Amino acid sequence: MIRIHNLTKAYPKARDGRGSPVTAVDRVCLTIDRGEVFALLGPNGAGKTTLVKILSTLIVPTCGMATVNGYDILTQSSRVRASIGFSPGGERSFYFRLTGRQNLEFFGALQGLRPPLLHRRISEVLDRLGLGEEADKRFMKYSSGMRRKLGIARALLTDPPVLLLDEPTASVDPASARHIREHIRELKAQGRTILLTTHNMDEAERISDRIGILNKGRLIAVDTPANLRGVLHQCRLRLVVRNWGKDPARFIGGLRSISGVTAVYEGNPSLEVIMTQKEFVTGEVVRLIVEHGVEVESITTCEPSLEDIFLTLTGGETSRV
Amino acid sequence: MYKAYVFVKRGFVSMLSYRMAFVLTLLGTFVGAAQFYFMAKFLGEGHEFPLLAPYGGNLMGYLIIGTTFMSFVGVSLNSFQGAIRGEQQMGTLEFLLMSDTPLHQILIYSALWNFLYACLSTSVIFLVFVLGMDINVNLGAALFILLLSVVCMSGFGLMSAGIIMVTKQGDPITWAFGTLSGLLSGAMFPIELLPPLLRTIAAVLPPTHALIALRKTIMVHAGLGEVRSQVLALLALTALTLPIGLVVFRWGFNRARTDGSLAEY
Repeated sequence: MIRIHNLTKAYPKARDGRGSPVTAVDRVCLTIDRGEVFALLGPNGAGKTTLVKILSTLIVPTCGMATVNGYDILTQSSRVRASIGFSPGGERSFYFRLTGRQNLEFFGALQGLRPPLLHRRISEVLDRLGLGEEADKRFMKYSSGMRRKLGIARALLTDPPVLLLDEPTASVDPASARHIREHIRELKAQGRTILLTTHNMDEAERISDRIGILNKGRLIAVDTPANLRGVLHQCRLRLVVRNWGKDPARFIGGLRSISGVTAVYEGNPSLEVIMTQKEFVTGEVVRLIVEHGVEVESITTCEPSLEDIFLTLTGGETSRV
Repeated sequence: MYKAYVFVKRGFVSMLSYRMAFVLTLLGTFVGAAQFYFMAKFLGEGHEFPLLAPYGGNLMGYLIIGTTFMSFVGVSLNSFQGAIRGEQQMGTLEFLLMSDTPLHQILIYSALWNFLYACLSTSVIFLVFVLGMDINVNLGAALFILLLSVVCMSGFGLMSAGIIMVTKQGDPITWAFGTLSGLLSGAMFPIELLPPLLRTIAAVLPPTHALIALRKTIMVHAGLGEVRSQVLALLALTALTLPIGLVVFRWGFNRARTDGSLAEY
């Protein structure tokens, strides 16, 4: 449904017109299948929005190619646009003095919809997103959550097979975010292909089939959330200690010397052991506990979170802009 | 046509939501008309104006048509770039460009509302003028000249919009055309008063020809045949400026798309 090959966008200068050249999207290759929800994760300035805008035909790539719904973004841009619904990241994409319904009428008409179909579609999407009762309020009176929902409603007006959602739940209260996520699941169930960008790793894990991690314009990992955890090959063992025994320093030194332990973080009363070989290390840790007479309240193991994976793959970088 | 309708409706709804601004605009035109009435009375007291003879010698009519027409010059020059800048500031430009509607239609429909708004806000002054003075309007011919002039000057408007796509604010086209038109096209005085060099420059400005033709059709009921030379000049200038305007606009648009700066302002 979406095919991207070696897509690159380079700006000769940084967007402020100063500084050195910037490669916002760097040789990205990606295939997203029909009916798939794909989440694009990345720090600020990673190139997520640029990539989405290239697919929306709003930005011309420097090189490489991409097709959406079988249409080339460069040579068949109007067909690409007809195939996608785009919901923007910001809140400023509607006319503030018009009501939600009037806004949808305007944008729907520009998409070629005519009454009575236009009015029917508007009622359908507004009801589906729970905005039916607020439809005749001016957009400027809408909350952040309502604005995001109206953005999704607009993207759905023409019933497109592909949806590009730029941070659909950013700055939205938890209840609205949950409603939006539920709606994204419904859209997937209808067979739509959805590419969404997000900072929210928990959200990406919960609603997407696959996740791509973009950093400095490069797609550094693409896989299912479960497989991405495997990429890290490490998990954490957390001990809550009641009594450190006779020689805590020797105990901790012993932990560090176990083969497969990559780090030990000391705290009081807890201790974290980062390891790559779960079964072997856990056994060795238990042996050392007994050997040093350490009294332990609890031992728990934790799989790496998506955040761990994200920070590991991006080198802990959270922002470069 | 439905797309044109939704653009006009959008403009109308927005205008109604700013009622005070509209009322003040209308009041401003009344004050302007009064100003010209007293000015014409003062200047016309005991004087004759041989240079105004082709227009029936009516000083007030001469001035009012000149200044009212300049508001249409402003509409033609600023509509396109104003529409783009307005959409950029509103954050809606990218959605318009992603729609099923071609870019040139978006520009024309946006300009259509501005044109209607200018008509609406100047209609009061025009009505007072027509009803209150001894003039003989050829309405069909006058409207044709007005429309032709707006289309002709839109070439400059498109150039300006193309430049604003790249520079985001400030373009030399609007400045140069607006300033030269105000000074040289005969809005406030006959161009016969200008030195020969400036008169030559005035001859290549569309408002110069538009004003002569409009004054004749509005004040002495001239038909299109009687203002043939001005109509031909406007047609020739349209044939020249409109394609250049389209090329410059396309250049600016493609440049912004390549820079990824379509939505920036």
